[in-house]
Amino acid sequence: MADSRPQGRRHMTASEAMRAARSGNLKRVIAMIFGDYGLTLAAVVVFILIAAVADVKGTLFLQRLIDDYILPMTKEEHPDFGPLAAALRSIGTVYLIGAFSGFAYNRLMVKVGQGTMRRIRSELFSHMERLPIRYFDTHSHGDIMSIYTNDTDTLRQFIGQSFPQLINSVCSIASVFVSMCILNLPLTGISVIMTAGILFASGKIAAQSGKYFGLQQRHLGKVNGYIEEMMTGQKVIKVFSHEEKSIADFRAKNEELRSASDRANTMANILMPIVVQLGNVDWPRRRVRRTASAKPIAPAATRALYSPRECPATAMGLPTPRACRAR
Amino acid sequence: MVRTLSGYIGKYKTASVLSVLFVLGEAAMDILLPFVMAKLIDQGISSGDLGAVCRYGALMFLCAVFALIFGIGGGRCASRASSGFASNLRDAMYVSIQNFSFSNIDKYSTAGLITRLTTDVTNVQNAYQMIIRMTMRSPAMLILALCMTISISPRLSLIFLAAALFLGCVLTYVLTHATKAFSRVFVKYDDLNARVQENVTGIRVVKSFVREEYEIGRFQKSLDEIYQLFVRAETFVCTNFPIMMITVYTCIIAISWNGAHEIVAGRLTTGELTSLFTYTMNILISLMFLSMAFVMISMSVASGRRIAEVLNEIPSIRRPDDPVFEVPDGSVDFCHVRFSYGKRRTPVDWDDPEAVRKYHQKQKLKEDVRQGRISQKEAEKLDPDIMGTGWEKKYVLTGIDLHIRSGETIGIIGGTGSSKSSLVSLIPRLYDASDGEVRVGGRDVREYDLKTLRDAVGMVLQKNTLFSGTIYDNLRWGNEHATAEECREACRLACADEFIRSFPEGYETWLEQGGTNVSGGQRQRICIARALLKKPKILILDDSTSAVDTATDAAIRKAFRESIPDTTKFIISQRISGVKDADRILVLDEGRISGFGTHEELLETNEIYRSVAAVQSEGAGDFDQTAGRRD
Ligand SMILES: Nc1ncnc2c1ncn2[C@@H]1O[C@H](COP(=O)(O)OP(=O)(O)OP(=O)(O)O)[C@@H](O)[C@H]1O
Ligand SMILES: [Mg+2]
Repeated sequence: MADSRPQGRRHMTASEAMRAARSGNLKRVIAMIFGDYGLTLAAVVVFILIAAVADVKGTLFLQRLIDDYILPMTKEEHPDFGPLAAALRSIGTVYLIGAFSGFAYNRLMVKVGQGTMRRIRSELFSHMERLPIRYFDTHSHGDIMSIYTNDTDTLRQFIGQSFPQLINSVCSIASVFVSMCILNLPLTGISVIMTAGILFASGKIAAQSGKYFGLQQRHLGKVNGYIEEMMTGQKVIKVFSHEEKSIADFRAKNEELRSASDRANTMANILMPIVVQLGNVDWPRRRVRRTASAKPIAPAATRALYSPRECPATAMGLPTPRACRAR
Repeated sequence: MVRTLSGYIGKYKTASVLSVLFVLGEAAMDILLPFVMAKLIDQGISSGDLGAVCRYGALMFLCAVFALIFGIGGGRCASRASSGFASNLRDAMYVSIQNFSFSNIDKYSTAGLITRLTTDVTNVQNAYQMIIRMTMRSPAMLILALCMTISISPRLSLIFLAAALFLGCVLTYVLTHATKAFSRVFVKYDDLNARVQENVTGIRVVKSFVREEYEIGRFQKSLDEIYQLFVRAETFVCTNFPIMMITVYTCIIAISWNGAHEIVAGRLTTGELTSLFTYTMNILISLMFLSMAFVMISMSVASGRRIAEVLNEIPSIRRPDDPVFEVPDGSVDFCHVRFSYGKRRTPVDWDDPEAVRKYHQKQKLKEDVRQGRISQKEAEKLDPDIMGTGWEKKYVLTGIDLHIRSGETIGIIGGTGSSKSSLVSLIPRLYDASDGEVRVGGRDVREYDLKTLRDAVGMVLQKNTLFSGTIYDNLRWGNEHATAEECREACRLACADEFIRSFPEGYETWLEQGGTNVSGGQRQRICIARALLKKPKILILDDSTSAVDTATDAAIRKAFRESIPDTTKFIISQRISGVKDADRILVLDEGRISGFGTHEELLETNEIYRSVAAVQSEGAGDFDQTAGRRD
């Protein structure tokens, strides 16, 4: 009788425990990435730097274009377009190199990210196969599955998005700074202050929106959990004519989710225009920013487009194979 | 599909429209800014006119402020509209599912319903937000920016037109291929997860055959496959980047070259050239977003379709127009009943590793035949039904004619798949009989109000579940207003009181989802108590004491006999001991009545019953090991 006794209220489930352990393991994951892909990462940094330098050169050229090439020509009787053509040709080469480096480091990061995911999944599976049967008896299958789906998903997001973005942002801030120093020292001073202001503002908003997103995720988890439980017990609901009650409970949870999701999305939506407009007001920096910073956004945005769908069902922590097959 | 879904925007229509307006306003401001900036450079800075600098500077500031206000307003409305829409969809689907009959539920698999309510709704929510923000903004930006460039320099704008066309085509091409590549990855992901689940559920098999290394090797292989596919798909996304950059740079160089000529010829100012550079970025970025929005929306179309399917599903069992609200007594009559679950494929039980293995084997064999690796004849030798569609209308009950008086106890026995569960599920109208009539209290069940009927029929399902909450919470499913004493009384009848009180928290013990933290036998007894709390006129126990020891089982039956003598009881069991003291026992064989009478009568007249009784009286085996596998 003793071991058939319930273990009291709300004990920690397996995946919660795993998740708790995982957050401490981020360091291990980073160490793993650097260990396995040290050389590749070095190449990535080199390519990022090349891309940044090409970018700076391109931006500087646009500055010089009007002052050094076009304005002098307007003053001549028979303007000579030769120097301009030569300059355009050389800057074209620089642009090409920049575009290629951009492609190269993105492509290399794909390899790093997917390779690491492959290794983590493989280790997880080997580990699981070696666990004693007792483990499977004491943990619900859904919990074990969710380690593969939810938790690896979070990790994949980190490796696939946050990590490259981190490297990228550091490099692009450096490059913009360098280019502005070369452009104009006093303007750089103003810009640094403005940038600090923008960073501060967006940091504040990001922290807020992060909080709301956390809230949204929590409510989403609650609603999903409720849905899963009720759908599994749907036939029991029918037998006990419990439909009305289950709808009422669901409505309350659904409304909470709606308002949390509304707030989270509002914050995210507002963050964008504020940062963009602050950038507009900060017009000395703008010309530089327009060309320089549109770039890192592009691939990141594209990747963000796909990633939440990587496995549509897994994102919610469902019993995936059946879920996916049901589609 | 679009019409079904858009009906659920409901009261968030205003927010949706406002959001579009705000977004358009913001786009207009974004376009105006470089224009004012060009004026500032040409009329202010170049000519050293401080007044003009101030004037245009103030104008720029105003534009920026308005853009900010519009941006915030748009963001606010879009988020309100999209999360409201999603909430409406979830709500409508949930209500629709609650009205589903059992056969509606069967059609969709639990996991399928969960996906629709969660992931699919999130997909549609994101797509909807995208639609009201991006699909309006990007074309507006594109057109406005093009107009501005045309007004600045019609000749130079030709460059944009060419670039925009090129980029539009190429991006769409690349992104559609990327989408295809990604959907291939998703399929593989499902397989991978299926493999993990197979291993989790079948871990005993894996371990007892020492197959760990083999399974790890197999898993590694599919990981490699996913890796390859994924890298391929992401490479598509990566090529997007140089294509866009090279187009932008080509534009810049072309504009620089031609712009220089124009300026020298006096047809263009330097300020205008600067704003042309800005428009270059504007146009190309909005193209980029447009193509991405296109892909994203097309990817969520599938989700939208699945949601609409649930919303448009018609419940197969409905309340009658003029229902009866009173069940007079607990008599049950089956009048020439025939029943079929409808034309359907035999469902695969994904929790059963053996069934899953068989399913995969069959799929593989089918694929082999399709690819010509194996001839159809040979395949049919391995699996005779290999070329069949698997769809058939099968009657699981035929010629059922039974008349049961109120207060009788009926035992039902029969092999697995002999339709015991199907038979009793007709009584509370979980399914409707295909032919004939099922009567409760002398009336056709279809005449009753559904709730009235189901309140009168207490049914403990074979596949029963408890819900997360305390034991009290679960018991009160049977009767919301049951007092603690009533709950205890029901538990005493079901022999559950004793073990519940032995828990440190007694009736307040928290049950996990599905009641996984109590043993199988304990779970079954709580389920019985829950049904008893309804005080039903008819009580159906579908194999509900299978995990309870024989002595307790007998105690429960004795308690029933003494405490609720007026309730009609149906007891399905695999054990002779579970039914033999019933008033009458029904022996089912492949959906037909094989015998119906008392224990003694059946021992004399029914061969199936006799052979089972003989084996079980020796204390060995259950029904299937004897009668079920006769053939
Ligand atoms: N929901 C369903 N949809 C379609 N077919 C079903 C469904 N439930 C059962 N069947 C089919 O009906 C037949 C009878 O099944 P049923 O569950 O009534 O048998 P049973 O006697 O209760 O078996 P067991 O002893 O295993 O509980 C089987 O062939 C089964 O495949
Ligand atoms: Mg059954």
